Amino acid sequence: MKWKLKDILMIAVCAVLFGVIFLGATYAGGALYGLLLPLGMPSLGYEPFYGLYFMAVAFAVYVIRKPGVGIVAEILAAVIETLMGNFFGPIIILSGFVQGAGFELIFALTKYKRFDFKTMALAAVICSCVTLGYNLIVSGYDMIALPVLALMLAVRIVSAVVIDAIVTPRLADGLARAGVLGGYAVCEGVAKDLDC
Amino acid sequence: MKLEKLDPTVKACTSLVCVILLSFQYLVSLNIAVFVLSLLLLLTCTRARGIQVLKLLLPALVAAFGLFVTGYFHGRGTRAEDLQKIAAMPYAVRAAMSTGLYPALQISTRLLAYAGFGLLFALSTDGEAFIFSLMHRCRLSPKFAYGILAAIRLMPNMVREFKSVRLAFRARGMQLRWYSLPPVFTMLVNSIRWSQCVAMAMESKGFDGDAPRTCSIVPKLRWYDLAFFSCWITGILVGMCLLRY
Repeated sequence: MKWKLKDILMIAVCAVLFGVIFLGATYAGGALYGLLLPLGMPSLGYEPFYGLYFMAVAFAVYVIRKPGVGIVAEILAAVIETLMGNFFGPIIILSGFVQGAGFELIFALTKYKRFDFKTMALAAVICSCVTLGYNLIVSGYDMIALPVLALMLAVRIVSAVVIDAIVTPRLADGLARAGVLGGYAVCEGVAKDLDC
Repeated sequence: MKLEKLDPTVKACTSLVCVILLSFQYLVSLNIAVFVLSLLLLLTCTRARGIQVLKLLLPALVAAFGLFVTGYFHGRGTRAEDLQKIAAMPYAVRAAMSTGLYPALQISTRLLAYAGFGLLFALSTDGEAFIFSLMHRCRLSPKFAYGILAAIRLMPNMVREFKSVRLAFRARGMQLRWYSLPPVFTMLVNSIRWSQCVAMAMESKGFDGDAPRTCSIVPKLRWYDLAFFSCWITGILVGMCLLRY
């Protein structure tokens, strides 16, 4: 896909906002972390917010609906997060690529023709599994017992489905109705409040 | 020499390659050595202040502690090769090392090693220099480079907009909580409009991301960039061969 400057800026501005929301969620995760500490599973506290990580790719794929958009958008979001001072540094660019590829896989298989709830949910599930696989290798999650890993995956999937298959498409539809996504594929079939 | 002088892309590549290497080992001592060395470099060879380092390090320490507790109470158990390593340890170390402690240390110190690299990069790199370096070293399209920079520069405006939108909602008698979404939506609508205006303004000023461009600053690779890269990689490879625990 040939990227226009306005596409890049639109995705980058949204990535900045999603990055800030994610930062806020990290603090909320801190509270859950404290609650789960006595159970010996504090790391699980961050999982309910995991879907926020995939918001940039879910938003870009749903709005633009073209091959490669998800991977590029997620890498773009990762570069912005690196510039915002994320303590993991450039490693998150690698995570961004994995998340983007994981989310976009199902759309590539369906030739970018279906963007309904089922496909978005399936993309969220696949992305959750792929990122857990990445965590197993890179983050050393293979040292954690299988039942806890299964629980982490289940929570991650629920989070990804709610945030990326329900909230993100609604947000994109809302923006389309507000008339700011004119010219993008998401506008086809969306009832227009202003003009799209 | 200050680490700020190093090429940002070389620093990013070093940290990426090192992380990939570290992800294939389970040596607690190597992870701790990498973390301590990164902190030492940060405090001695960069302009970062101690309080700044601590602020960014705190979430990493919290996350590492979380992984430690999870690994300790819900670890998969010590693997056969690690049991051999533990058996070869001095008695005092073995006594302190229950079967759950070693995997917990393996998983949590790995995160600290990653955070060490991340902090070293984040606190010694100028964002703009990183983007320009990516443009020259990795052939990042100018459209993406300037698009990212423009979006980052819009951040203060987005914050200001968010505050004024919340104020406007309150003035209309709407009760808002910190998690209320309508102001976020309104702010996002306005931010996307700005982004379109910025794109239009850049293009009307003659910006064309596809045409060849000349640059006033062309970053050059110097001997110390290559030395930084090779020292880290060699150090980690040697550590992987020589260290046992």
